[in-house]
Amino acid sequence: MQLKINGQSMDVSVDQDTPLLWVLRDHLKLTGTKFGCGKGLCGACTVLVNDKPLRSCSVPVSVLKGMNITTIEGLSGSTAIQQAFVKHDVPQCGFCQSGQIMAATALLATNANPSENDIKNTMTNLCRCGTYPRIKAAIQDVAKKELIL
Amino acid sequence: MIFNISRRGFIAGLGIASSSLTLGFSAHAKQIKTLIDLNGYVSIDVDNNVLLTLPKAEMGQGVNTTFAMFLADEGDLDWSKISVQSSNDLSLTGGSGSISGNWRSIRRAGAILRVQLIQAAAEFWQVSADEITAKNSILSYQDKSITYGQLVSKATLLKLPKRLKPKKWDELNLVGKPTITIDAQQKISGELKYTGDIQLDGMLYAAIYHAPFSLEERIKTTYKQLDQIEGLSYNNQISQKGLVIINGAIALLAEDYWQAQKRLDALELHFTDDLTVIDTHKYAKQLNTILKDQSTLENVSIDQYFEIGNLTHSSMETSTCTVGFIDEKWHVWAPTQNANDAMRFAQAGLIVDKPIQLHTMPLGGAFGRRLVNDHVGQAISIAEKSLKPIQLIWSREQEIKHDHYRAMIHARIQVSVDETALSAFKNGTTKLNKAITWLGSVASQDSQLIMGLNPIYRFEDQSIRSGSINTPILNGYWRSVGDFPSAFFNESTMDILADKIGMDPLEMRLALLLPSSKEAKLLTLVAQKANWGKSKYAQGIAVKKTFGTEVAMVVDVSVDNNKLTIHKVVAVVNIGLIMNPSGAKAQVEGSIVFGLTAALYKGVDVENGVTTNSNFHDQKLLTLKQCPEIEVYFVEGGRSPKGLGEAPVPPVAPALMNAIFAATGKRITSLGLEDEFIF
Repeated sequence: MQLKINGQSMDVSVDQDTPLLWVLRDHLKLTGTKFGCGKGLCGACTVLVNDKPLRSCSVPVSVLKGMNITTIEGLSGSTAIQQAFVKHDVPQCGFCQSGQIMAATALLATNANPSENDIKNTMTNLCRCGTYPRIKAAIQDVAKKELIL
Repeated sequence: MIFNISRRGFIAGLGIASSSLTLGFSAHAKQIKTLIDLNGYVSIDVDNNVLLTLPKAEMGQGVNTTFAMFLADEGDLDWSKISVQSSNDLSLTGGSGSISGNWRSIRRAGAILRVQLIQAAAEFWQVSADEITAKNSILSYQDKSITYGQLVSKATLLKLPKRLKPKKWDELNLVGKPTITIDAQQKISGELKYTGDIQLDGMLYAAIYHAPFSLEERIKTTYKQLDQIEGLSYNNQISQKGLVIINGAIALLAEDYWQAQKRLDALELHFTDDLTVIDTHKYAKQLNTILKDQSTLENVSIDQYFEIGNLTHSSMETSTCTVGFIDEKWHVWAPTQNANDAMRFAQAGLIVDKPIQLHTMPLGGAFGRRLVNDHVGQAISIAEKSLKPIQLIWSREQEIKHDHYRAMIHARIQVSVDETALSAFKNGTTKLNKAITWLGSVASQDSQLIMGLNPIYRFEDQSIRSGSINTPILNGYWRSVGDFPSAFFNESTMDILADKIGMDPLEMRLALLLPSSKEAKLLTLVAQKANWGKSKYAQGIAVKKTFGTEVAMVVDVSVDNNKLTIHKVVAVVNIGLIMNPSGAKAQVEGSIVFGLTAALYKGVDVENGVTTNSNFHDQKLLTLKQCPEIEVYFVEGGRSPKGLGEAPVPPVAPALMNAIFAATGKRITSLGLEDEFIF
């Protein structure tokens, strides 16, 4: 099976029903995407598929053939939202952060100036350390900049 | 050039116990490895990179950053060149004691580093040490400069300084100022390696299924079931289907975790033992019966029961452990809060005694859960039986069902205040008659059951009695330990009393506290910051001292029909000395979110020996949408920092419940509001 991940074509041979998460982590060794619940409830495994957020633990890889998959490794490390997460000192344990970054990236891609309610309704990823106030502040910071530009 | 440094010499030279921080220089990266068995050390390589190895675990509480700040300040180091790791021999990390217990050692290490390097530079340029300046890992004399790295080899040959003068507090550049988490960039780019990101050649992935809680030894229960599967037994190796039996659980190995979990789930394991007696509803009844059977005070004004269920840790990283047998040694990668305990589990997990090398990894949250290292014992057992490198990953379901819960605890609090005492109190005496607390818990040996229950308020006579019942449900330490239930029971009772005697909850607390007490001061300050009595929302207040740190809190809520909205939490924290204002604030914010989850969502239920909750849909965590605005204020004072990773948790639940009472007149005495409100 051929997948398009971070702009590269990658061949994998796995069962059709294998969720994308485990293809990424266990077969392609792209371990930036994390496992948190396996049921699409926590968002630690969020990636982008055709620029939309997807919880990769719950989607069989076979339905993603030909689509553009972006993982945390596909971001530069210094995108506006990544810089804002550093500036606002968001991460604590860090485990959910890849997923949070991907979810925030997707939000800002479709809505350059999200309102507080937009953020609240979109950012549904869980964080046990409680970094929520800072995630919100980081997104708002990027949104503000986009407006000025 | 490579220099061998006598480790013993360094320990002796530093004159500190071997369990505390030790300093070592290394000229080459390779040499660093030879020092890694030490409990903690600092090394600088020729390229000027600094590696700080800490005797404590980093689980999101920010110790890596705070320690590195002290080292950088005292050592005049280039912040961008410092990286931090945990020692493979890290000591128990809990009780909010990492910074308060080790900050002096790390300052000392930094100071030694600076003095040694300045001395080396002085000898290099043949000038007096007083003429050398050190900044950003560079030593300068007039217009000449040289990096620390270039002088490391020279510095290692020098004797350790006899006397050290740490810098003055106002000479520190980083300490006291908001400093970004040292590995924030790695965390937001997915580069930080956790245990599950360790990949070994030929590694298989293991999913696990535990036997139910059982009054018998758990292993027997497992056997009974597993004898029916392919005739496997504990002494068998791996079955054709990849099954392995270990103590109290069965594991299944496959090429990836998904296959392993899918095949394990397909087995539909059912345990046949009658375990109906193992049931949290039944335990709750038993606890209440115990409490009811206690005597009742004369003239009792308040006789209130409280309940807290079994609470989960729910760290985002489930129990994970990677194991391989490499060069005649077991290598174990694991998240742990206690290396000794992890090693104990690892040794117990092996049938054949072999050397074990533990590699402590960054933790994806812990909150007390990784003080117990069952995952380590299991993973090494599976690897030994299967003769393969393996990675064990607990599903979220297993993580919730086989957590070591914060023990369920019920309380009955009685307060007796007669009319004479009350009118005297209202006329200015500072004491009330009598308070008595009865406690019941399912944890038979919860030594910290009554931690922090001693009321700070002045009653003429107060006493605490406790009892417990034995159950096979596993219990363990949980962020803020006994102070969590204590705060809920005591601070709710104070509001009940205030309502009973017709006083403002803040006024009554202040009247019952010594005006000079930290609690009285913090309550006054938090009331001021939160506009106590003047908010457009209903407010609740609470105060609690936990692990030496006092925190006062006001929560603003509104309730519309049964829709509960938590608008704002204002916290005032007596922090001692503040080290990293950004990290400190993050701990308070995180603790408030943690406390809200515990207040809003009931603990797990156990029926027939099995936890009925299974994943985040029925064991919920607070979300960003529900997260209120949080305001944090620090009160500084004293000469040393205090622990902060836990102290802001306990006041959250009582302040919230007191606010809900203010809004609705409804007194919540049992944690978990899903049945009463939507939020």
